[in-house]
Amino acid sequence: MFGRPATLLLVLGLVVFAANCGQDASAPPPDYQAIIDAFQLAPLPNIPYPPYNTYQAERIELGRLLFFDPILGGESAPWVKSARGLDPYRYRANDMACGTCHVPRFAFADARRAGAGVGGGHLNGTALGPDRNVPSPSLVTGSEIGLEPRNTPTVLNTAMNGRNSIDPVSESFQFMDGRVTLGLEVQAQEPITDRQEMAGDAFLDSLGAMLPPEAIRDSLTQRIRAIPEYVDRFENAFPGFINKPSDITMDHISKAIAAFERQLVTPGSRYDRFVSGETHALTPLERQGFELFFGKALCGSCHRGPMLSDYSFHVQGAGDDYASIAPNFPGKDGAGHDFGRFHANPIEFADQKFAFRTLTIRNVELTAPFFHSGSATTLAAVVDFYNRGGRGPQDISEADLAANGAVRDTLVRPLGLSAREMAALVAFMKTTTAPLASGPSGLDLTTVPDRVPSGLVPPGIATPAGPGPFTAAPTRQP
Amino acid sequence: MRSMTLACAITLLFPTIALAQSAPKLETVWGDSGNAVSQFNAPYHIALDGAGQLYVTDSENNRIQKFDNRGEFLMSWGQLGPDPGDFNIPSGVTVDAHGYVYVGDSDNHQVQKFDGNGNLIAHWGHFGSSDGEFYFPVGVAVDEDGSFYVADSWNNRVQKFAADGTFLLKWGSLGTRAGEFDLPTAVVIDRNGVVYVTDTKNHRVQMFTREGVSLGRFGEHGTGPGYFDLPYAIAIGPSANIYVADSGNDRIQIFTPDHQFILTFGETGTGPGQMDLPWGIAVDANENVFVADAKNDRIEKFSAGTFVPVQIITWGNLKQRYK
Repeated sequence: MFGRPATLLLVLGLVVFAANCGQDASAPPPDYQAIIDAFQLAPLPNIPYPPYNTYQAERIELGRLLFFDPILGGESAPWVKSARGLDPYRYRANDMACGTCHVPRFAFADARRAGAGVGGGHLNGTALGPDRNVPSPSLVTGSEIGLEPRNTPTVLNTAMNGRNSIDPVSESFQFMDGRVTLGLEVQAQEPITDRQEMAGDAFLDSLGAMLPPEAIRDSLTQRIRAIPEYVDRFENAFPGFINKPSDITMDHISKAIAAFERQLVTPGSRYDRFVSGETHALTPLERQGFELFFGKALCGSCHRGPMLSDYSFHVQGAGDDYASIAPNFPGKDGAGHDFGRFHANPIEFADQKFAFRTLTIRNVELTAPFFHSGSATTLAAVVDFYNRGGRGPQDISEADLAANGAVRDTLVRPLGLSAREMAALVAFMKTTTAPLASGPSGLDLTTVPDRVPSGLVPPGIATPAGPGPFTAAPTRQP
Repeated sequence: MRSMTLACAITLLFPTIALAQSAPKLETVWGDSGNAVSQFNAPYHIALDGAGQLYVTDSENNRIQKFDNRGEFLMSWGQLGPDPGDFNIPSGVTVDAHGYVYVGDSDNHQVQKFDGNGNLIAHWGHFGSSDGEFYFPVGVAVDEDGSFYVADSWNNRVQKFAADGTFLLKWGSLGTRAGEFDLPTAVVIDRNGVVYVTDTKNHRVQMFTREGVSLGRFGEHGTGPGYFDLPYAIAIGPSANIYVADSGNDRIQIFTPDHQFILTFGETGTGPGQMDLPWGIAVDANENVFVADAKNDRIEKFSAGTFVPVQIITWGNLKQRYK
């Protein structure tokens, strides 16, 4: 899809040359179009609708409700009874929805170093993002459920995670370790089976072990089938295919969620206008940042293409710095490290420790903190990491990498950027920020719905006094 | 400079590596975008019956269209729906020795069996990942004894069933090692009982015994001869040569039965003989090649080519030759 390394180096050389020319008042203006062409830059693509989940307004609205409905959280009242003498209705804050971590006001991320999943709102029902409280005990077993071991990525523009083709599954990658290689429909089925993210200890066998993912998905599907409003909405969202509760499957649930997520796009940034030929959409400082980004700073080697990502995996060695997240934070491997791609399949990717998928730069201004463990709190800190070539005391050392069979990407090396150049890079990255596009038929995509069909309270919505709203959902025979 | 000189020398030493062969030539094209007779909306796979009649999964029109060997429309059946006989993105299609048509009804997560006139005979499966369940099944291949294999694409596995639909075995999971898949889309079985699977997002073809034991693989990601970008379909001609729809590269590649590259034909475009996402391929008894040109919404028929295997000149085999 993209050029070979030799071609890229040649292009980089030309771009660096162009950037240097830009500093000479007597030289012609930089050839921005050459950079745009070389790095295949383009405005945000249109939403790619796969044939198995085409645009359907009712499905998008249903997906929004599911996205913000704690019914898909394992430890959701009234399906789970507290084993600890706590009133599950009062402690409904243990419930998790997709939107508990992917919060509209935090650009569909959570503004945290590491995600706070099950139990994060245990003591404060409206807490979101940095205000969530973990670790917290499971409502079911009392066992501690800690922080999620990674920074929460935004959902914005994930419709374009991959190649915009006739079949979006063909080049998709989800999660930082790429463990899901299909589209949003498949991704949506993963967090609901994860203990820390959404499931908690609600799905245990007689020996106390978590049930297999298929059984968890079946159980959650049963919850949805039991709610008449959901059945009606599914019938409208999948006309002809769902005529009774038992017709609803996890396939439909995940399609609806994906249909909503696919609408969360941010076209029309100043960057988009610039790469469309509107040179003065960026200020001189931002244009300098653009040249540096695709030149001296080497960012464009990985952050390229329409999504400013090559959707590949690279070893950079950004430090985990887990000690500053929480005492004894175990990290992804339970021993203080996150090996990235390795965790997607420790046998297959045994030689890819510390490799992470390139994330998009789009809207990066809104999604701090950065890197897999959120160790960089500002964009300036990110640029500083690259400027020191990942060789600071807070970064993962060459020795640590080597001890795990990893080698830092050769493009992560000291860059010799000046303070002004670093400021220009930050200024440029901020030009990718754009507001959320409007939803279908006036559907508000920027807020959390006040109510959801389960009767549970959506994330961040104030808990009414008393157990009143937490009545058991009425059932409907399958 | 030194390697350039060497490359020139190799070219001079082996100037005839692609002679003594001719690629299949375009013979007929039919179809355009739409939902009328002989029009298509993302034609996915193609299959031929013993009489040389073609069955095309017209995937986004949710129907099967049947043509004679020259592209004359014969009949169609199916419409969008969840009921037996309906389709929701029909993708894979194959015809067994008795003329029964098997369809991977992908978004209904089932396999349906019809007679040659579109009468429903049987249907199997529903959404899920347990034995006998499917998640977006695509390709189907039927063995001599009537047992059949299904590329259960989003479950990243192949499932084998007895002729009556009884689940027999499965193999595969997400991965890149031998026996693992990343989006298996097509399956075909040759006269020796070797099961070929296009492992699409791993950009390769894998071979297995009838019991799912790995026999090897060929191809890797790239654009050169013998390399693939998202191969979606595979067919075996009467010559036993192997035809692979190298979909992302907009071309067809032909290999010998022992997987040596022979030649490639097709290029990106909308003109005659060009392709835009060739998703399906079938080869008839005369070695004519039919291609489902998915984004161009048409079928292209190519006459049989003549060809001999080509040894791709690489440093590896040069050294092997002269060591």
